[in-house]
Amino acid sequence: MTIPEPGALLKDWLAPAPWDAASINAHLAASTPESIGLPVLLVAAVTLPSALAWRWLRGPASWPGALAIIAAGWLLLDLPWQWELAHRLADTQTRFAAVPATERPGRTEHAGAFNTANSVSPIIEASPGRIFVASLDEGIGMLTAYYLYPLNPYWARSGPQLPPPGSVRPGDYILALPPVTLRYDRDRRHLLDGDTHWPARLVTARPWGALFRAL
Amino acid sequence: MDLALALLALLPLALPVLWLWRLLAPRGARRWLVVGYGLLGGLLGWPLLLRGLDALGIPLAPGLLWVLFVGLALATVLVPRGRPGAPAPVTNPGILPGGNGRLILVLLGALLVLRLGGLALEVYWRPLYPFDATMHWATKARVWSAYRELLPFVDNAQWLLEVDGRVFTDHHPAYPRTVPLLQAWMALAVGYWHPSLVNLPWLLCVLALGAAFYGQAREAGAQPLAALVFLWFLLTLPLLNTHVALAGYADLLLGTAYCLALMALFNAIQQGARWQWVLAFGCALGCALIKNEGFFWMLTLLPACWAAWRGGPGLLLAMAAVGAVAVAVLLFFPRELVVAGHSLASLDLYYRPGSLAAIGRSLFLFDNWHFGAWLPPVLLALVAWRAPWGLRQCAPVLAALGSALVLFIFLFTCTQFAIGAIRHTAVGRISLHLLPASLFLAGLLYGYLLQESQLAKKEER
Repeated sequence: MTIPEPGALLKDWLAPAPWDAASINAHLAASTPESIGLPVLLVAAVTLPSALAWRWLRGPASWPGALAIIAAGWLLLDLPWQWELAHRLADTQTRFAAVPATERPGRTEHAGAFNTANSVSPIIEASPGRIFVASLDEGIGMLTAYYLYPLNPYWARSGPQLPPPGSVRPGDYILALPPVTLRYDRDRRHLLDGDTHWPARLVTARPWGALFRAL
Repeated sequence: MDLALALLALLPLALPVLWLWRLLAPRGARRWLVVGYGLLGGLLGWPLLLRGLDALGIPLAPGLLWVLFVGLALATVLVPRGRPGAPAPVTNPGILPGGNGRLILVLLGALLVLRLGGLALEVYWRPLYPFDATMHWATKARVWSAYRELLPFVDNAQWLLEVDGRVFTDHHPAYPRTVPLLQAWMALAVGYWHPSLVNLPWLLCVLALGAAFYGQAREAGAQPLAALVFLWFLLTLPLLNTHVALAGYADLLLGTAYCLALMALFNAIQQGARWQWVLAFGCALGCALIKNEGFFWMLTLLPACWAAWRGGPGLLLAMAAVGAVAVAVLLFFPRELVVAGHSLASLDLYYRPGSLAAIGRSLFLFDNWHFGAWLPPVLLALVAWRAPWGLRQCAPVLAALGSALVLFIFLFTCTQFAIGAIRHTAVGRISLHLLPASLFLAGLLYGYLLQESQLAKKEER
């Protein structure tokens, strides 16, 4: 493992990063592989022994002082986190505060899925049916399905893009969102994936993909 | 207007505060405890009530729900008042520290206001964002609020066979209903699916956790400043803050329910107070209403009761019993039988190399918890050395968290969920279920060290 230069570590530690999809799972406090883990390790390695040393040098009544040292170490880690939160809040305010609530998802990384769902929802609402969301991209498929609710979408996290032809009934919608391996045979009015085919007519084709209705 | 409606919608979730206040007639720091447990009671109880109405075939019409709320609020007068002659709280008298101590109190209070204020604005502005929220929590909330009915969600295969267009599917159709019902209620009250305001209950949840933590810490004998320092540790945990800012997951709510259950259990054992037992029992049951893992965390409170019943040596016996039960389950439990969403067969049991190191990194090196995960083991070692009598006192908490830790490590090293540790996609947020309770343990351990030094001082005199 390479130990980073103190200046580089400090710069990495104090550089605020925006919220992203991984934020909900972990907070690393640093971005470069050699820096991850060092802020916590360094602060804990200095703070906890210092607190113990304080207690043993000053006698039994000095536990509150030891706690104060621990709190100071905590503050050292928490100030960069507060700084990062402040930056993230400012970004959130800029992106969403003046935007009507129903349009806010369009200002996030979900914008593509949100706009796609908004494009097809009126068509489906006019003539309701079940909706199969087909995409090889997990994020695109899942998010588009989410923005289609409270319509009745189907998105399978694992497995084929579409269920077997027998499971798709006439009147169901198929929303094909690239990347997909599905092809449309306009003459035969079939959606094809290898040897498998689903009878369907094209409802609309847009840059984000295409909506079909099963026949 | 939307914000006003959303704030009004929090009132039913806060109603149990009023009931607990009347029942317990709290004084001093116990008021915080009442606020915390009351709020969690509302966060768990109001969705239960919505489920009850739906089971009776009553539509979830906002007007009807508001009438019901007013009725329940008026029914507060029927809640018996706490008797003035009830036993006095065992908390410290609550002497405020002087000089520097008071300055630190103000400083920590200001830091907490800054943190919670910022998080509140994040919730207010940011639309629903995180992955699982859009995959299987808010999906149900959107449907139920739109149809004003808890329409069924089934798995993909079942959905394909359905002919009724009012049957839905998502990635985890059988997950508990509490979290989506909280969002559905907010949408019903605001009048449409507001992608930010549906998340306001997460703010209430963090307030519940903080208030109950402070109240129970004081109840356990902590001085105001020490209780506030540990509260500050708790409410500044980065991953906990993240789960408020990027609201939509169930983990914060489960961490809150488990922490509140364990704190109440500890103080119930210490004080013998019946109402603390009721709080502990209610919060423990609540765990199972939030997430499938909650059922297993709830079970870890059984060794805690065992340790309390058998005294100090009970801790070792409890851990041995947990080990024996675990081995028996692995050997003899039907492999296909599903309990709380899992079966032994689906867990695909074998050790995954690399997972233990990943758990260690997540707990001790990543900044998920600052160095909050270091505190319990360090303080535990110190108490074992300097104040071993403290181990007997907190044996129930050690038994519960010890069992939970064994389960946690087993889950992320020997089951299919190990991938969530190795890729750091789950281990951090599942730790959130246990970290708040672990910090309560750290606070208790610090208190024993403090007591030991005071005893030593007296002996010197």
